[in-house]
Amino acid sequence: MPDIFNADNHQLDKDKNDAPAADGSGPPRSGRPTGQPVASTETVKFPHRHHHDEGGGPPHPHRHVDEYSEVMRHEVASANPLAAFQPKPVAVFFSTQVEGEQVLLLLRKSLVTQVRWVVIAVLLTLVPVLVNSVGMLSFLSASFQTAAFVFWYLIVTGFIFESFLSWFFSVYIITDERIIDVDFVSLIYRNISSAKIDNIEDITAVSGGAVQALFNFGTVRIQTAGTKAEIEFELVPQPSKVTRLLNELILEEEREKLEGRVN
Amino acid sequence: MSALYLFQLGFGVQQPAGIVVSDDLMAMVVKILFVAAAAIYAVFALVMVRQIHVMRHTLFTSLSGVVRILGYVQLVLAGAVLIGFITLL
Repeated sequence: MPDIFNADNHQLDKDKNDAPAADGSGPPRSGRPTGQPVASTETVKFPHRHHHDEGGGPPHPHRHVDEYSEVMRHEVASANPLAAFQPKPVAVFFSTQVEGEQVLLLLRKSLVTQVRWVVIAVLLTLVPVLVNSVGMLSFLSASFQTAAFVFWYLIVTGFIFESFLSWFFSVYIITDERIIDVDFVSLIYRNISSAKIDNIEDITAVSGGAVQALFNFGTVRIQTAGTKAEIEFELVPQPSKVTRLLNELILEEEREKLEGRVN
Repeated sequence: MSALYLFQLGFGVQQPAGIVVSDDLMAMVVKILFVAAAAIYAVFALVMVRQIHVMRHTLFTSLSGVVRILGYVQLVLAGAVLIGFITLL
């Protein structure tokens, strides 16, 4: 039986063709795009479904998250794709998602952290008005002045779009098996880190400063036993709730291990 | 009234005062600079479309289609500006 969880099957920078499902074992789940190879580093740990009895017994049922997580029990599935805190997100998949893996929480940096580039964009939009009022470009002909304004607004549009993309696609994902950190540092650099829930050793939520306290966002630092020692969920909303959810998931993983041994 | 004149009127473009770059050589240099800048931006827009493609396959959401369309719109705008700079300036 092929080892479908072997990470060597998923070296995206070697595979130049569209891949089927992330585990390479068949066609992708309907509605989920195939993985795409890119020249970037990626650290992925694939979960062993330890609740499957490798001695040949039947697989133990995976409990629904609402059964064991008080945090998720009180959360409604989020259909807002622009939210920074999306519990049980609707129609969200990621490239290394394995069959049956459920996304429990999708996080982004708090919207408050994006105010800076929004303000910059507004100011940049007003620059041509200021320039025109003082006549800084009066040495150019009318057509060149128009061209300068058009080009300026094109650049501002590009700045806004690039800032939005960096925020929108840099996400932190908590599934029922793993935590994943997807970082698009710039348009051309991508870093994906993940760790199994049962490799988590320590969770720390840090929320400092008046703004973070006021708008309830902060950083969740997760120490793991994996290759990447620490994964950070930077400036995410409701860090204490994220911490509670992770603790509940750790307890559930331990319970599953225990039941697997007993059964 | 030409469309360009009305567009300039809307922008409040002032008629040039003082020294005007009307010399053919200077105008050509300025035009080359504009075209070069537009070409660089078009390359940036192309890279952005490519990276949106990568991003969409890393994380798939209900907004992925809209993001892709916006990327192509930006690319088309960049191309249109480049062509406009080449032909109209």
